[in-house]
Amino acid sequence: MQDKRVIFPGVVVPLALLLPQLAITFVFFVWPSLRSLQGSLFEQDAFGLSERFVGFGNFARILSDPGYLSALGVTLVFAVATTALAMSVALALAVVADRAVRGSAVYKALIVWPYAIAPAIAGVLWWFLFNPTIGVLPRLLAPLGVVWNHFLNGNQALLLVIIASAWKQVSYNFLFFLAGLQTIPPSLLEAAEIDGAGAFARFRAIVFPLLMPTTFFLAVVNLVYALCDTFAVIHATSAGGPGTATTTLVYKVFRDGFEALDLGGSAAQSVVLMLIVGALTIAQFRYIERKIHY
Amino acid sequence: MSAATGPYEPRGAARLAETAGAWLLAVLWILPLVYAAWAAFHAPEFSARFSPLAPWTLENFVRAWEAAPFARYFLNTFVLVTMTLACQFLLCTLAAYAFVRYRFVGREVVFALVLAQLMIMPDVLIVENYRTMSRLGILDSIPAIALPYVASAFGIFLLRQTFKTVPKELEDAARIEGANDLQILAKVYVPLARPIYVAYGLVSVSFHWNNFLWPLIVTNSVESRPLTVGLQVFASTDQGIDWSIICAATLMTSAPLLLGFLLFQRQFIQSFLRAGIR
Repeated sequence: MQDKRVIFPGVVVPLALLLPQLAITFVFFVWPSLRSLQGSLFEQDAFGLSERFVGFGNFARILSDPGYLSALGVTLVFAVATTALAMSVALALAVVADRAVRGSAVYKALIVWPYAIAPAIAGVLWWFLFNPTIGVLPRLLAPLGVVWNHFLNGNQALLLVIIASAWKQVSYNFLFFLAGLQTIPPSLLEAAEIDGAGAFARFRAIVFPLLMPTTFFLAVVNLVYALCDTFAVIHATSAGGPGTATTTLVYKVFRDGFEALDLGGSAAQSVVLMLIVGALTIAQFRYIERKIHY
Repeated sequence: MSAATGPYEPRGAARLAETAGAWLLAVLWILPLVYAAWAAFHAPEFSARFSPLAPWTLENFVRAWEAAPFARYFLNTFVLVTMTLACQFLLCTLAAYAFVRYRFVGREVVFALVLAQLMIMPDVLIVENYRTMSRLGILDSIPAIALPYVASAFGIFLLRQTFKTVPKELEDAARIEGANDLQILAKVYVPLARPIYVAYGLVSVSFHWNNFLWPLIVTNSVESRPLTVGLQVFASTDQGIDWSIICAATLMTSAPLLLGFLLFQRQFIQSFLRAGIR
């Protein structure tokens, strides 16, 4: 892009402007990232008194550790299920909101509200709703023959954290889907109807393809959310248990780093997580970069 | 958006059914909130019994308020989000201005560093950042919660995009009037980017009001704990606290954001859409 702005040479003024930001970035991003990278290549004793270079030993260790592989599996199921649930519910709500209530302000306010609830607090809410002794939902499920106890049943615990995590994210996805739906020209849908396409055919042939960019963008946002931002929900609902049934990668970084004090392993896990999130963010960033040049 | 119904929309009874279905879905979706509100405003014996005659009460709120230092938690959260936002505005504005207005050695490298930061979630770096805070001797303080977030790469990125669209003519006019670089920033650039500041501010405030993992790790006293951590500590300390009180505390701590969402609904929605990422 041709920049017609008067550009000033020199280093002193821009450096002074950038200095505060650069200082923070260095201390809280560059330095800890390098330290994690370095830490992942060394083995430390729990008191941080001695270090021994182990190369990729920590990576080899975590990748052959059944606990880590289990966390990787849990994370995969959790992230995909949370994303799928949050996006499909949001799409359904957006479609009915667009068709039947024409995006009414009150309707939008209702759906957006869960987004204002902190994940940690949402976790507490769901924990109570599903609580086997005092919760309402297990009592409703009992006549259906479902014995709900997420303290004992790992699959139920996983389902609980998926629902609790998706709940809040639906609000966010809803806004984007609704905005996407409202940009679809009605004339296109009218033309399709004249050609004899039913409601479902219209959705599949016109609406869904036109929503693809939104869907892709949201899929990345939701996956990153599920990978990184769901610690609070898990901490408040299941605390990673029972056993390790709901221990995701971020939860394990926290557990190993702050509870088990396996610093080398924790650092190696951070690096792996950074690589995954980095790859997802590059995909997302490409999309934003294309969109944001207005 | 026209008020008339388009020809592709449902008509008559089908339309009515669909509208009812839409509202039903929405109510179902916020049922956990409705339920929390019910429990919060009724005596504990009604927390699982739904009777239209159940008497309403504020007792749960009073007891929750007395059971934990919520006034202090509110103050902490308020100080935290204000401090974070003020620092973010200042740092991001200066940095974005430097990227747009000046050509200097290493500009591309520094900007690449900002973009790289967009890719790293601070939650991944908690172990190392905890050590840094410990070395700085500011563990368990509000600045320690705010610091890793104040050089927001996302804020710089948004503002840089906006500053790029400021017309050169305005800047020239200001220069002829004798304004220096910083005055041009304050008088020309910042006012024109006001909607972006509002959008970014709403996203930042709602994020930091609700942030949990980092504050949980870095604080351990009433004096620095924000609401989210305080409520969690309160809800998990002992088995004796009853559900109605927890619900009251939950509503109380979320009320400012819930109200904010209601009052500034349009701005919130626009800022999320504009911001693209949280």
